[in-house]
Amino acid sequence: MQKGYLLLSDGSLYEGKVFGNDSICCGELVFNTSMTGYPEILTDPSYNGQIVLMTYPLIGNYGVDEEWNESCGINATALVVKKLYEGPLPEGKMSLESFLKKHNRCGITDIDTRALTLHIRRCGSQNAVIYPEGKEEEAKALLSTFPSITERDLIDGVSVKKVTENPSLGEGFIEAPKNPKYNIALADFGVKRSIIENFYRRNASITLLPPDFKSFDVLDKSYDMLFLSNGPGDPALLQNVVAEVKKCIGKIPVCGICLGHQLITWALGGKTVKMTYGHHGGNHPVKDLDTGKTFVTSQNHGFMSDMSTLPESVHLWFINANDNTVEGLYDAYKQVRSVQFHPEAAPGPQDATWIFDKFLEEVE
Amino acid sequence: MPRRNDINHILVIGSGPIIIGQACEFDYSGNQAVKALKEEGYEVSLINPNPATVMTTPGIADHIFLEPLTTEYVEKIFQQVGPDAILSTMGGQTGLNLTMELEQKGILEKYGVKVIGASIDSIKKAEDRGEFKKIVTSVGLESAKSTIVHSVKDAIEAHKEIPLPIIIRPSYTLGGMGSSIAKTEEEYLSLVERALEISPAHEALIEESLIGWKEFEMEVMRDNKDNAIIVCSIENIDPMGVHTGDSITIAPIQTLSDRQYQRMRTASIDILRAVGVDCGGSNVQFAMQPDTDRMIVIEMNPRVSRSSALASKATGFPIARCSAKLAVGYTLDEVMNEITGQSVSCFEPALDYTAIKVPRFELEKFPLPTSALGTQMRSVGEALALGRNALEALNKGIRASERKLEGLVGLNRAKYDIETLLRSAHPLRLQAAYTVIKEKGAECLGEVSSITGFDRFFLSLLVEQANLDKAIEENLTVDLLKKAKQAGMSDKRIAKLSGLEYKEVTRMREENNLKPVVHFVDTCAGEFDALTPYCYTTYGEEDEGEALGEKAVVILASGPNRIGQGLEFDTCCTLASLAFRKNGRKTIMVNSNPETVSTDFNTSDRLYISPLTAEEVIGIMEKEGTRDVVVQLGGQTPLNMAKELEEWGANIIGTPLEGIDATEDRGLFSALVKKLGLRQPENRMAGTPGEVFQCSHEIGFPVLLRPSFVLGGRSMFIAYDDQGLADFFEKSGVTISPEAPVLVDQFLEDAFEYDLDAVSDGKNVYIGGILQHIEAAGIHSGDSAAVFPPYKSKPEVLEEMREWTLRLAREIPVSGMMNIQFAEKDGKLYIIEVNPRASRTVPFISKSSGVNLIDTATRIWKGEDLVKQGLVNEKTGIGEGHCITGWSIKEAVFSFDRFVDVDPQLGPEMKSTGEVVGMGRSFGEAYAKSQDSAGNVLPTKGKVIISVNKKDRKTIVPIAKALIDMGFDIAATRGTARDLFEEGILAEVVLKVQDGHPNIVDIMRQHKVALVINTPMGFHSRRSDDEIRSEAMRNKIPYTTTTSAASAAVEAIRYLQRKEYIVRELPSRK
Repeated sequence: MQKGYLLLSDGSLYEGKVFGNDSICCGELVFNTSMTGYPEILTDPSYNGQIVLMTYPLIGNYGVDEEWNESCGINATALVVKKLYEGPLPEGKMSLESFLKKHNRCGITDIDTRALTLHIRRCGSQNAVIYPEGKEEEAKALLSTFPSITERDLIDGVSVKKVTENPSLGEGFIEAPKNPKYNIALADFGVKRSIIENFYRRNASITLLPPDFKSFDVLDKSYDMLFLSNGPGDPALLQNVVAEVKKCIGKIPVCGICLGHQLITWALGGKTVKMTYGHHGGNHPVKDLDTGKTFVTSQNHGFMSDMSTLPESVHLWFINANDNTVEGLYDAYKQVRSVQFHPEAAPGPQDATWIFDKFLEEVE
Repeated sequence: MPRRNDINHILVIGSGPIIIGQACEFDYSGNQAVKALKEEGYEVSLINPNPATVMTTPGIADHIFLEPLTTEYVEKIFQQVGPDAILSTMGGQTGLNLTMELEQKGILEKYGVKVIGASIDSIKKAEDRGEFKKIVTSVGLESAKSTIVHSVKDAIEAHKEIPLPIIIRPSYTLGGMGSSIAKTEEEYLSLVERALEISPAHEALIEESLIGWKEFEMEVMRDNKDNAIIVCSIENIDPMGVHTGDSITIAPIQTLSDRQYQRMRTASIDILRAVGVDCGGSNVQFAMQPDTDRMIVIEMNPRVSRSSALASKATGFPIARCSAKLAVGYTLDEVMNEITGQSVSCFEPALDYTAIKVPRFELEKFPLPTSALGTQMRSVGEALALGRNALEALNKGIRASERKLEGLVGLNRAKYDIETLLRSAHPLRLQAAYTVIKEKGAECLGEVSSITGFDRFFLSLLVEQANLDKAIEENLTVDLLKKAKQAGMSDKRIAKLSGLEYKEVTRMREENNLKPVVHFVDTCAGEFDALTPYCYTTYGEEDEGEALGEKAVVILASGPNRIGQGLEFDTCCTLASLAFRKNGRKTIMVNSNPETVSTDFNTSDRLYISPLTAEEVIGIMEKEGTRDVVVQLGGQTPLNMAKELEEWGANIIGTPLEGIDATEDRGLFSALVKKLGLRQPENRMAGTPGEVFQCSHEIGFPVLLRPSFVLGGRSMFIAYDDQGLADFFEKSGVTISPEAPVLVDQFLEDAFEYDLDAVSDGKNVYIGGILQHIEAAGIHSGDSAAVFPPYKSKPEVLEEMREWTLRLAREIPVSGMMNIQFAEKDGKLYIIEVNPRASRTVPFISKSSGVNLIDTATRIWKGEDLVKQGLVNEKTGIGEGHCITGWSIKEAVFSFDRFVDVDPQLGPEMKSTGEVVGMGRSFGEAYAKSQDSAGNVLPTKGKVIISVNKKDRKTIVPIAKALIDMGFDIAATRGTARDLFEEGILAEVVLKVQDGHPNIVDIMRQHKVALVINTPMGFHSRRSDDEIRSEAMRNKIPYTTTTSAASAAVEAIRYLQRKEYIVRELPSRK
């Protein structure tokens, strides 16, 4: 492996070794505290445009199986690890390095990820560049002009371009229900495979709508619900979508996860704000304010709803038990319901999959 | 939910003496629980007869009872202090069993005491294997094919369904006790028979063998709102077939994909829910077939356990503390995470390091059978190491286990049969695998994996190590040195490989600024700003710690538990840390033992989980900017590195190094004894076998032989004649040379032995107490019952002891703790040894006398001499403690019953794993309680067999008469019976072992004996004496070897016959 560097916008420099495609890659650097699930994380479209640092120091231990992919390829810009596992793997599994190569992404290992994590915690997420030795000038130039995450359209490329009915999840996965009980219009901003899987399993058919869908695309058909998917980037940039969602609210149940939840926040009259370093991991406790129960959830977001900007009719459903941030909301009258965390897990704890039932109850 | 207000006073059950499978982790958890409950404003009572514990230190709980863990005594406590709840989950299997028994006898109901922690119902469901299997199936999970049997006939039937090899587990036993694996038909039936016998319910589970599968553990917590979290996931590096307590384990799980892991996670929570654990922690164990998704649920423990202590230390999450809070009504989201101070406990710790536990074995004392490790736990302790990668943690962990292995090293083929080791679950199997991998390279990895069952991931660590070793052997570059340090290798190991001197490697490291850096264990992988005092060191990364500075004092603890060095020392270190802090000094604890209170996150101002080696300790002291270090409280481990620390520039607090040398070095010590005009047993050093014979003849038999370099632990030996000496050379395998001489000591047969614990300021001495042993000389002081105050001594002998102690303390000069062992024979006092450190009996004496000796010592170090402390008479310079109840007796506890194949023979080498105390107004009361707590149930009726040597035949008469008066039947061997008859006592005659059948041992085996009094008949009958003792231990028949012990038993029986069950509360600290 070649010597390489990770340079942050604030000038902090970390030396390591690059692997994967050995290119120069730039993106917003975020850390994820999950101890397993690197394949799911890399292939999660919500990470489009971001460099993911895994705080757990040993990554690649059990290899990669494309069956675990949350989309058709790697979406994260790059991967930062303390120690890449290069040893033998169970039969049929691909090494993490080959996986990155195959999908033409880069990674950097031997990085002091702990110091870097503490740095991000103190100074916030920021852009960073990974480059092999000798490409310093090029990398610096790229970083200095690289747009901030709040300025980038990251949805294009991870979402469908045209309406797609009942997408196939691939061999070995559940198929779309033959006699669906529910028909869901799913606005795709980079939906994870597991979300669709959860709907299929609950006898719901899915029609993927491209991000530039119009409200009549939804309202004119006999859908039971508009579902807004997860996805990358800043929801504030998607005001066109918000306008369309607004038109649907009150006319059809509207539910969402992650970015979808943030779009719902805007559509209900609220705002979202950028978090210092966000929530990325599989151990975040959220409290259901209706029942008082707490769930350990999978999370991946750098923006959050600002509850104070929402009208009073909107109920706070979940809050984060650590920092009290908004983790879910609903408006029973308007049949709107959304969560910031990922009930589909993948990777992460599966304690909140019941949320999908709750979504479908809005249809009943 | 808020704190429960329907209860006010909680009784916490401790786990009693340390035995294999139940060690100081329960002191740690109980201690946390007591503190957590008091914090909530509850009145807390505690019962635990183990005097070595921190939890029984006055001031920790409101009412402390060092009484036997039996329903009778608990009932008395209910009457006396009136608790309205009982916390069942902190005392291990002992705690659960006692709670069940209290329930069954209706005692809980009678006194309106509620069970908190784990409900009776959930205990039953988790402990009853049949019930548990049903539950596993009911939540859609799989158990190993198995069935419950109650008879051998059942077992034959069951075998039709379940193929060999079959695992046999007796129900309701502790730590997998009595579990075994049958590989043949014959083995199967005999093992089933044995298992049925051991099980209190005469029930055993037989199940398909999952040997070689991957093994995992999940530490789960669940509250009454159905919130559930996984605190820690643990993977066993040793595959199924080795008890998890004996396995090298790693946290978090390394080789499962997220899908597999989440399935296991969900399964664990489902099981807790189905069993009904709704206010505490549990541990669920799984097996997974390699390279498949077949997952089997093995078992669950509805309580805190050894694993939960490990999980707490591996993650920083205080499971026991949190469990206690849940037990009184709180929910996980209401309990703050004290480490971060800004998150709640309803989250799952994220690690950014790996934690590896390495077990510590005492193979010399409990040798392995041919089949090596199995389903029965054999390790006596464990060490934990943290590292930024698995190899680093592994190297550190192996070093920390203090097995004389300098990390992951190869084995000498000339000495070890590598192929056999690879194929057996041996504690050196990983080393054997490493040996092969280093020789053959990465190509053999697959083969080694299939032979050993080690996952390829773990074997790849060995490949990494082998490559490093080879590179270092070639040329040690700075870059390589950094890599080696990041892989957790010690300077010593690097030196050995590179051919450099140890000091040169250290210098090379320093010149290149390769110094250890500190990382904090924050439970959240850096996500939150943590207030944690808990850290470890690593290399080549950014340092996070601010130095505590020269005002801080480093306390070196005792490392993994082993025979002779365990909980007692941890208690000394913990109490010292608390005392220093009370006096305004910051403390830094260094320890590798995850089971302990000293490694609790709030015991010290800073805690390092680190191997206890000079290199690591110096690194920590440099980093912290302090030179003050306490070495006299952690047993032998810290003392062994004292010299190296002082050479570096450390300031040893207390007795200086020369003082330590003067007592540890035999030559210097003899000179000291001579100079002060004291007396020690005659001793010589022999450099050749001929000299051994010569010395022995000069001194006179019997002699005690001690090789100076102990190989394989075959250490001390008592020889009665030339034949004995010849046996010693033949059997011990000791090579003798002028460089490695054998020490020949006069052996004081039939002497009375004493232990004296004292504190000195160099001028004055405060004697905490003098203990007199009950057993005959020749048995290690740690294995002997001992009485405080001496029960059978002349005042002038005791006076002489005091005087000698003062002379020694002044001469050395001692500053802090000292322990002296004396022997008295024919009115003459001998000094056996002086230890310039805290001894095993310090916590016992402190509690029995009401004076905390550790506190006294730290005050001396602060400059407050014993006169100022008001403990000594200014004129004489001597003060002495008194037993607060009148009598206090320490009894040793053994774990022999775990090893059918180990001869439970006692001798000059220590074998006990733990101790208990019995305290009473009368000697009988104290002795009865000590025996009860140790599990030696003295009879109140039945048959007593007496077989004593000639010299005891007079003293035995009143004992025999007393026994008859109390309603016992007497049987005796021929000679004894004749002598008794002459005194008018009729005894049934039984045959001696060598006289045919049915003899004394046969009768014992038939369970027809209530008590055996057998004093040694001298060397020639040693074999039959040994047989009697073994049989007694096996069948749990009380057994005494001295007439003094026999009369103690008589007094105890008198107390027992009164059925008073007096409980005495330990007075709270003044």
